[in-house]
Amino acid sequence: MFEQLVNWIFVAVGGYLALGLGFAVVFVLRGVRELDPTARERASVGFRLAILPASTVFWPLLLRRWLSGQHEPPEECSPHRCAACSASCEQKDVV
Amino acid sequence: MIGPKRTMHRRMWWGAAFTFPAILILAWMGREEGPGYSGETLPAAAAMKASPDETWMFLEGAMSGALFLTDGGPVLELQRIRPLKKPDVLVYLDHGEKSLLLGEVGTQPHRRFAVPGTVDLGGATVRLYSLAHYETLDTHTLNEETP
Amino acid sequence: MSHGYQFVGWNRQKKLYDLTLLGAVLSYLLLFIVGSIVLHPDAVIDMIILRALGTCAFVLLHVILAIGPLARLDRRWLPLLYNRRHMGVTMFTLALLHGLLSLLTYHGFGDTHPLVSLFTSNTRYDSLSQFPFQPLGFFALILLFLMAATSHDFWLATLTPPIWKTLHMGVYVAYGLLLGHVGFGFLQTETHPALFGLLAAGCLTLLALHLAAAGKETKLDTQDGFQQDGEGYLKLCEVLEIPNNRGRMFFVGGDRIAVFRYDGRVSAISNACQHQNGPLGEGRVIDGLVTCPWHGFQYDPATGASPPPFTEKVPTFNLKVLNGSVWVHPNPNPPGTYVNPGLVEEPGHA
Repeated sequence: MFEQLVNWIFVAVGGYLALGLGFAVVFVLRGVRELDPTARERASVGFRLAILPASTVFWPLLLRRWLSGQHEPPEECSPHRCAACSASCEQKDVV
Repeated sequence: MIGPKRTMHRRMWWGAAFTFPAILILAWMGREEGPGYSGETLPAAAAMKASPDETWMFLEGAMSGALFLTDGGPVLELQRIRPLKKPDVLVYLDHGEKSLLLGEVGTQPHRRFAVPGTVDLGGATVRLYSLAHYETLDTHTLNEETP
Repeated sequence: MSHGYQFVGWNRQKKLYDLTLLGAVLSYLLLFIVGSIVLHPDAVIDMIILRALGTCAFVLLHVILAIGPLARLDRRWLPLLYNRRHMGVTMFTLALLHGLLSLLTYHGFGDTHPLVSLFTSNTRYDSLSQFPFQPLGFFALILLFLMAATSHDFWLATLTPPIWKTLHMGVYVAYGLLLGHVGFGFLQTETHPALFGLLAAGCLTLLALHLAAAGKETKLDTQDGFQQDGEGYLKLCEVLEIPNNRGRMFFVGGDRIAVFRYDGRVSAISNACQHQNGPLGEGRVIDGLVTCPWHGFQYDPATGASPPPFTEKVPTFNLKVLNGSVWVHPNPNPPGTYVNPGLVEEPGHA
């Protein structure tokens, strides 16, 4: 029973990664330039190979961003940046 | 590192400060209690019987094997009498069509392995397998009447 | 801070770092293998290589985990921090080879799939001495893989530094798993107390280093009681307390800021570099630009923006210099906002 369960878990993970690999190949060839402006400037072959493994794992995140048409990496959320952002948003509302 | 991450880092340190030493203590307890069984399931007084239920020799007298049927379950004990030429040996218990890996015998002279209580020992075979040559070195088949 | 992405942005320092690392790893492996053959002539070469790879990876992990707090305690360790990710990828590679060889050796010759056998061959979770230590190593390897695979700057930008940093804090979870892997595995077979002592010493040394670094850093984060004026500005320090072309850090507005003195002027920016949130306040002002001590990213202190063509920006803070004191408003401006620098009043002038 336990052996069957472990088997199924590995099959599921294997399926997820197989889908991911298929996506990752397409992503490193085309998608990465659309999502990141630095990659648009230049994306060497070594770089594309280097990001392939993690693209295989994080493919749902990358697919969502690609489909939503994002062309820039997201802004990081730190206390100062968030405070500055909310202050400028309030100012815009006032104006 | 930004402030919230530093706070998380410090909380993780507190977690690690208790968890890591606990892992070390548990590992030490495993060594102290002897390889093969855990203290909490086999109280020391009842852990080993005075005499084994079955004994035999392996590898032309280089190693002895003994089976103890204890309150906590069966325990297989292997004792090295002479140095082994191929010290990295795996110990399997073949029962029915299944083969259970009990552990390995390295350079220590004495090892004990707890056998799961669900295993049918009658007619089971203890097998020593060499990692160097990918071959079975020796086997011993337990008595058919072993419970 | 670069034009485009490449596999590795090689420079002289990185090449030297990596050559030293490679030399150290190969020397360790060679010494271990030769030493094992000499001390245990009957030992199997597979096991020797397995143990060489595993111990080398584990020792390297201790070095990696020590670099962070050491760099906090003494700036002379900073050069090791510069290329630490290469050390991490090297460590993962050694661990992967160890894992693959182990899987093949112990689980590769049966009729069960090796990965399934890894989890099902030993289910003695009720035992300490026979605890299934191999799955612990497996999960540690997964974490190390995730960190190695996301070590490129592309992932820093894609995941953002705070999330990337959270993922990479998984190294501590991996370390705990590996403590169990070694403690319940190798040290149950090889029972010499010195080996256990080594493991305990490594672990306790890391805990002590982290505690010492935290003690030093916490002082900065618990600063309080700055004098405040009617407009909300906080008096942080005297101008001359800031060394020329250097910065000082203060905890303001929910996080650290860095105040720099340069060319007769004073400016305040957020302390966290946009690259990996390195401490800008510990950097220098070189050619008029604040330079991060970790990887050299640069920012104009008056605008918080990197010089073109680079696009990194950090928030800036309104600042004034009154009677030789630095006053800063705690509300940050959006990243890249120009703020008039305060002027340093030279002694003897009005």
